[in-house]
Amino acid sequence: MTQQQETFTSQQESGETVTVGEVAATPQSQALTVRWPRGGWVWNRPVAILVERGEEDQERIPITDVTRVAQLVLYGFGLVFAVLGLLMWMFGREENR
Amino acid sequence: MNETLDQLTAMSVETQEQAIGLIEKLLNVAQPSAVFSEPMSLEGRTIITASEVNVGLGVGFGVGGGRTPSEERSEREETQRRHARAADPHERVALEGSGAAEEEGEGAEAEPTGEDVGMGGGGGGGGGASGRPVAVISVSEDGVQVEPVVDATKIALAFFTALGSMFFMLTKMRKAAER
Repeated sequence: MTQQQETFTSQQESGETVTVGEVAATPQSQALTVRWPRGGWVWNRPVAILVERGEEDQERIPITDVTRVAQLVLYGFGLVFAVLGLLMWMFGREENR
Repeated sequence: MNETLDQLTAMSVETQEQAIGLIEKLLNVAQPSAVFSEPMSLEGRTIITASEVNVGLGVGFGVGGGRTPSEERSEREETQRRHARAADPHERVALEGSGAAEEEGEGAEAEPTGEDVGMGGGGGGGGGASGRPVAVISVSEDGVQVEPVVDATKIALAFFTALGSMFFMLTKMRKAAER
């Protein structure tokens, strides 16, 4: 009925190649899969595009998720500030004693 | 009784198989076709949209059944017997006879009646999915261009959350310094 599958899987796959003139572009995606007996979760995101011009010229252009990077930077700033503030408060408390 | 249980189990198994089939379909989201759109040609360029996809789901089932505990059953039978005796003295003989029959069959498990057996089952499930465009890929004879898609709302929310936490910590720190 069902096959025994791994709980965590990370796989990178290539999509269909698009050719315009001499340029061939192959998109690549990365999927993270978490499976449990009665459910699962899949996170799939684009990672790069492989560009080929002729047989020798190959280039890999990464796809950057600008929104995610900006979110992580902002949350990181908030977290660092919170930790620093906490540490300063703790040291200030000890000095006052 | 056994037929009903078999039917219930069969129905449950069928529903579970359907649910497992749905979970198997979840893996389709892990394919690149879920992330990259169909190529569209426009003015000598081919455009592909790249999106991030998130899908999660879970289901649960349970079936159970049981009999009334033997002590409760015998108490109930005894009560019923007393009521019957009080109501109809002619029935006394018949009831005593059945009592004797029970004594003879002691040790052997009594056939359960409809009142003594109960069963039930239930199931539920939930899930969610989300998608967000990440970039637009433009392929032409000149080359490939990747244009990022910026979600200003998400960035603004993150900015105000970070700003709020910074302001909160700054206030705490000032108060601590004043002490």
